[in-house]
Amino acid sequence: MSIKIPQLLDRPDVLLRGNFACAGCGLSIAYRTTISALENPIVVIPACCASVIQSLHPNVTYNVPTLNIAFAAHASAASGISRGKKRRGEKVTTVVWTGDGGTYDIGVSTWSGAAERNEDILHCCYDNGFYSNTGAQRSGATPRGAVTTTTPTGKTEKRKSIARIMMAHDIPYIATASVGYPRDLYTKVKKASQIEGYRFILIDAPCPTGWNSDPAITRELGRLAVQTGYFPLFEVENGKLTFSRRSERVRDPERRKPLEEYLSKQGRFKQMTSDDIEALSKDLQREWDLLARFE
Amino acid sequence: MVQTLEKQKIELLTGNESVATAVKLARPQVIAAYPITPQTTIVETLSRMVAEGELDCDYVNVESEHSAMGAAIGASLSGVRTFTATSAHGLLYMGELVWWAGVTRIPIVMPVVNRSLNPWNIWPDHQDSMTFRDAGWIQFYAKNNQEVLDLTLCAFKIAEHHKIWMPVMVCLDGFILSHTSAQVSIPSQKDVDDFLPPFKPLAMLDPKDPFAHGSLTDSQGIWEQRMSLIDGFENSRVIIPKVFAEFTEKFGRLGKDMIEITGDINNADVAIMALGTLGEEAEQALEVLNEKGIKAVVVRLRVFRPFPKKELITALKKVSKVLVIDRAVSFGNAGQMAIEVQTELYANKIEIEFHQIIRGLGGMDVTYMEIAAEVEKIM
Amino acid sequence: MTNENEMKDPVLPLGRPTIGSAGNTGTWRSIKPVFIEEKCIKCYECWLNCPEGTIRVDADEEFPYIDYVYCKGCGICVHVCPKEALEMKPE
Repeated sequence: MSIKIPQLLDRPDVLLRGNFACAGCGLSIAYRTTISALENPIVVIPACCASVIQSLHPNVTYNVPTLNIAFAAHASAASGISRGKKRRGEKVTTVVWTGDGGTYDIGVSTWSGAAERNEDILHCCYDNGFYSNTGAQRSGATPRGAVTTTTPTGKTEKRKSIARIMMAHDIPYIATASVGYPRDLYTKVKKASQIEGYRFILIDAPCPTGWNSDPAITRELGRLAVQTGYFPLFEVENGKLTFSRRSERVRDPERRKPLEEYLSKQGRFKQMTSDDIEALSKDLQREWDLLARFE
Repeated sequence: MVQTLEKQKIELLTGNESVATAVKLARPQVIAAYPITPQTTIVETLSRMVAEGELDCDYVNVESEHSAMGAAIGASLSGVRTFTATSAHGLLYMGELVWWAGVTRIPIVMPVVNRSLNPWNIWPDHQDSMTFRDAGWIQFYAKNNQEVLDLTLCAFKIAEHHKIWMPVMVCLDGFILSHTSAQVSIPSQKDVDDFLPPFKPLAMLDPKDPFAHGSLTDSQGIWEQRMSLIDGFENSRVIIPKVFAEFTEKFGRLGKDMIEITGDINNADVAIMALGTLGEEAEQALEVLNEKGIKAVVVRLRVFRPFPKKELITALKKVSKVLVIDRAVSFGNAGQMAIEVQTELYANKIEIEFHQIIRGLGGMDVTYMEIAAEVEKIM
Repeated sequence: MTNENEMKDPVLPLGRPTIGSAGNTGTWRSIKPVFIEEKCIKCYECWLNCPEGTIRVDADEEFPYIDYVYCKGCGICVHVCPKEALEMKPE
């Protein structure tokens, strides 16, 4: 079922080159891969990096209709668009494109309401583990031990499990994907686009600027996140969870690459002691165990 | 041209039912609303209308007022007529999006059932709508349930005019209007369809012609957009009376003026100014005052934004005293209407004795006897 | 002015899709990726993983090429190429 790269060659150019994104931006890879897989997308972007890489009015990088909206209003605006277009008899894919700030923290109310109403929206969250746009402050998605500008000695709380919160809303489709495996992301997006109702895709998107990592290894970091078990790939269809092949392979912690391999390549984890890494490992395993209950 | 009007129904409607009736006649396609006292019966009535097939539209039961305005903005930009309504803290909660709709030009019509702000008080004053007089919305204040219905219908036409393209707030006093029944004449659907044609977007999110709405803008861009908003208000000073006039001609009531003057302005000594139901209450004071030999008029702003400067001066030039009654306070200064009237009087070098009072906060009852007594005090 | 035709039209906050919306972003880089054509097997991994879309392919079976006006020099393409058919060179 794996899509071949040449099949993707004539996909639309949704993100026009020469924009404000940092070199090696994970969000950009996520955007090009996701949005190009959709038919007639209309994208709602709240305050986040995606609203800034858009560049300066009146010239924008997005080659699709885009609504910029306030931070906590993304899914409500998307609800209005989705309903309005249906009323007009126009077939579109209404997308919420937000970072982890807008999904894990400030935007919870708006997406929770939209999910509860099962609005016909594809909610994509590119997750770089902090408020990247405003200069790397901690978010609910920040892992334990990570250094951010508002957790200068390392975050003391563990990372929120947005996937399990989404699962509690009983929406038809949830998936996690990584910028390290763009074809897997593309396939999941295509699958989601065939389903009606509220769908959520969480995309691990390295931010070299905020993570203090080499921009050239953005894809490698995306892969290591999966290979170390840090970021499990899975799908939840109508309440039933299935780990994706690459994560199934590392279900057994013995078969995972050492977590240090992932952490050592990022400046944000430089302060972690072996105790900190142990604590983070426990968090990750706990998440795996809780997710497994939904299989 | 001789026209045949369909017979208008006269029903006993509360202010909130008048809003819902006007909305039903305006045929929105997507509405979003979150309940809050004293607006609740608007959303409940609309909900019933949708359920019973009287109103064919998508009713989005959002989870907060912030999302209600979010959904309205999205719906409007998707290319359909939309609507939402709120009060007091609901208006404050959606506050950033009220500004969003104002300064990025989204033609939403939103009745605000005026209610006081914290600590918890559900009764009327104008603190809520006054908080947003800067936000780029056209603002109306209705004095009775008939005006609520009429102004709401006009609001859609004004908001959607292609030289305006701005949101409109229709204010009605909580409980005094919202929950009190009065006789309201209801135009037929056919006549309203004639008055208010289908929604025609000035710009619409469309995969066939992609644009980004409201992206990161530098000072030059902001300047252009804000100046254009000022132009929009200038255009509205002409278009609002035109639409009012069209409504008046078609339905036989309302009047074309942004300011309603009750009494003989050419023979008056003192003008009383008050918004909404206080204005109608003041009308009752005129007779009492007349018996005491005081020649007074009521100068009632139906339109607060744009602030009807020209019409105000034309009226106030003719009197020697004015009493402004505000139902809200701009804390740190004075009542908002008093501030703005004084500014206009000074700008036009009008010689007049100016008086201002604050009344009716938190729903405090204000009777025409009190108003008459206040006028007597300043004579 | 009362003539509607003379009234100014609303200025709406609309931005249009633009290549080079941030200018010639190629000036950002200090090192640039260069193809070693004889090693290239046209797997298009570089095209797939380029964040900017500056690696372009006109059609299947064609060699990929780089739009140096906008390439930011991130180096991802060099890292993902399975055949080391790309290398970073100083500007």
